[in-house]
Amino acid sequence: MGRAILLLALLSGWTAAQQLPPPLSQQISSLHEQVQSLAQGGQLAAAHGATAVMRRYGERMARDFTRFDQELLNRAGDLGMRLPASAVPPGFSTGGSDFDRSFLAWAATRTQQLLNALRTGQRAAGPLAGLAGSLLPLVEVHSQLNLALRQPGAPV
Amino acid sequence: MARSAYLRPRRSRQSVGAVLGGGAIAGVIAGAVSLAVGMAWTSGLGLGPELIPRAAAAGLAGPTALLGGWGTLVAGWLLALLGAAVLGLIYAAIGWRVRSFSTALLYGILFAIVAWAVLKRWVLPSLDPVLSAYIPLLGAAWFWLHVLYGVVLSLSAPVRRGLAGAQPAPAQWELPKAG
Repeated sequence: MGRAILLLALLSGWTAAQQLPPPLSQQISSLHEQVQSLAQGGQLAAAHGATAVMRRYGERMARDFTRFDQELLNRAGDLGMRLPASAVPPGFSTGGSDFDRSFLAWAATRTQQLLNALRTGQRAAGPLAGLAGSLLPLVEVHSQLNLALRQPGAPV
Repeated sequence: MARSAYLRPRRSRQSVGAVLGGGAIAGVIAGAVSLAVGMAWTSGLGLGPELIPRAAAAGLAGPTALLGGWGTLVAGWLLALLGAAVLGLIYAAIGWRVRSFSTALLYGILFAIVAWAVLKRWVLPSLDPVLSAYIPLLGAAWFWLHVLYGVVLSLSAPVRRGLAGAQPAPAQWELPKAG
């Protein structure tokens, strides 16, 4: 009987641990890493894009996600956290004629990951929810831009 | 006795055209000033000077306006100035009786704050969701740009007085008061 109660207690504790969201510091670090990666990818596209539209898209990404990262750093500072300046190199080559296509595919995946992370952050109660909710529409705009550029006949 | 001794011209009332025209012109002037300061501000924030006009153009063309060329930029400026003119028109239509500069200034700032809140909460999310999405990144700048708009809009009274003065109003005469 005692063993059964202990087992039940352990099981319920494990289940509760599975349902808990990751700690706030981990969530902010993860967002910071994703946003930095998108900003760096944007800088690459601004420099290596084959068309003017692609270079403008890269510049827009770099500017918006750098500012977004600044908001995250400010929020982390308010919470007494220090975020590492982690350089995450985008996973595609910068040369060749296929750059635009491979960049758009990479940016689509990364933007979707960031959207998912922000939606999770928005649902979780806490200091991150407001920030995630306010910045979510901007990432949705970037997702729509990416989708428009991947359409057949888009000027890229 | 000469006619002027008995009759003197009454101050002509400002015509509807002068009031609304003055409001719209002051709105365009205030919009141009706010837009110029806004472009400098977004540049300082690292978002680039072209963000506000491009995001304004997105109200018509959708998110791809963010990547458009000079045509998109000009369309964005024009749309922003049109919105500013409409706000100026509303300002003048509501407050056409305001005459003193200090009252006009206070009224202009209050009007701009109400406009900022209404635009942010209801108008932009439905009419221009792209510009609305950028507001959190602009932070307090978006609010202060509207206050600046309200301050410059206070020029509406002198502008409409100027317009009214420029139009030859029909002479209206009244008898002098006794004594």
